[in-house]
Amino acid sequence: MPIAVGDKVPAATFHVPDANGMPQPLTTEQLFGGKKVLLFAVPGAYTPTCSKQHLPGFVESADALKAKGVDTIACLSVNDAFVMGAWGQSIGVGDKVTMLADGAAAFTKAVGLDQDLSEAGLGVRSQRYAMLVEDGVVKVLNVEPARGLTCSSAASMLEGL
Amino acid sequence: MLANIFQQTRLAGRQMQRAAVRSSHGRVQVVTRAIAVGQKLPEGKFKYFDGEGQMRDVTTDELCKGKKVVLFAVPGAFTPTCSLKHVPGFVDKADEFKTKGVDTIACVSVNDAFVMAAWGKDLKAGDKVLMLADGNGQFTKALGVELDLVDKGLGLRSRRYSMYVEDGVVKVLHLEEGGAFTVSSAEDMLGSLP
Repeated sequence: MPIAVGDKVPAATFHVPDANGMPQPLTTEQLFGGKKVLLFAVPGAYTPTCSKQHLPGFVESADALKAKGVDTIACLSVNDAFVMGAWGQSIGVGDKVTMLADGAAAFTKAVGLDQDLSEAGLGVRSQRYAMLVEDGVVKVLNVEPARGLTCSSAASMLEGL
Repeated sequence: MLANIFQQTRLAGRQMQRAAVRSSHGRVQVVTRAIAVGQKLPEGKFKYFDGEGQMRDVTTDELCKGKKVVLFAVPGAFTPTCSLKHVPGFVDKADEFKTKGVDTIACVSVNDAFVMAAWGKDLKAGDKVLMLADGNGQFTKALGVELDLVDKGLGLRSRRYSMYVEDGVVKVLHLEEGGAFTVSSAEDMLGSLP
């Protein structure tokens, strides 16, 4: 059963690339506790839609989202922290978006939003979605119904705030 | 007291060395030994992006049959040693390898093809080094060279190695402990070619 509005996010530990690109652990408690977080998830770093539209959209809208009270914008993918760091850098996220590596898909499976992309040689990955989480509780959840970028884009989430 | 019993098993035409180790409790564990010189490469299938940006599959057979191949593996794309030293070394020496008769130089990692392609582009691998994705680690496991990096959030990866393969048979093998970078550089391989 996937996570729903009103649910508390499950406990998990991500890895985040530090200034040197080295993986540092970050717990869900540290990320979500007492904060308004806009978390969006992508199927894969360096894949077309994720790279050309989804992540750049959030980088562009970062200031507007912060103006509406969002403390942290975080991008999650089932990739390791080295890859997330390099990808974020290539897109130019700076300090606008926190890159979260859910390397073993622990959080992704716990929220029930995983998908099997073994055909493309990607294994278990996340579905594309965006959620607004306030102090660990899901307030808004937009899961893409099909391939493509619609309800989980920065623009859509901004409208819904 | 431990007793080692070496068993050679023929499995679907492929030779694999297994050591049956009997512990003091009398339990038997079977451990797959790492690939060795003289052995045929196990079957594997990799994904990669070709020059036109199309994702393709290639088997070890298609890669190695009748060819001289230098295959090297790294623990992870975009990790420090791999990016700063290991891959660049092979890109720089690619022409020298070709002069010595090597048909293909390929880099393997347990990463997906999108990541391998982006990393290859970053390192200007071009058509000098083929960036192969062993996405689910199947080839790495079959070689017996897995590296447990679960604690670092990377899961199961490959030990660093370089090998020279002729018509699918390993002729030269430089296998590192974990991700150490001591014997598997391009220079070392160039100097070891028969």
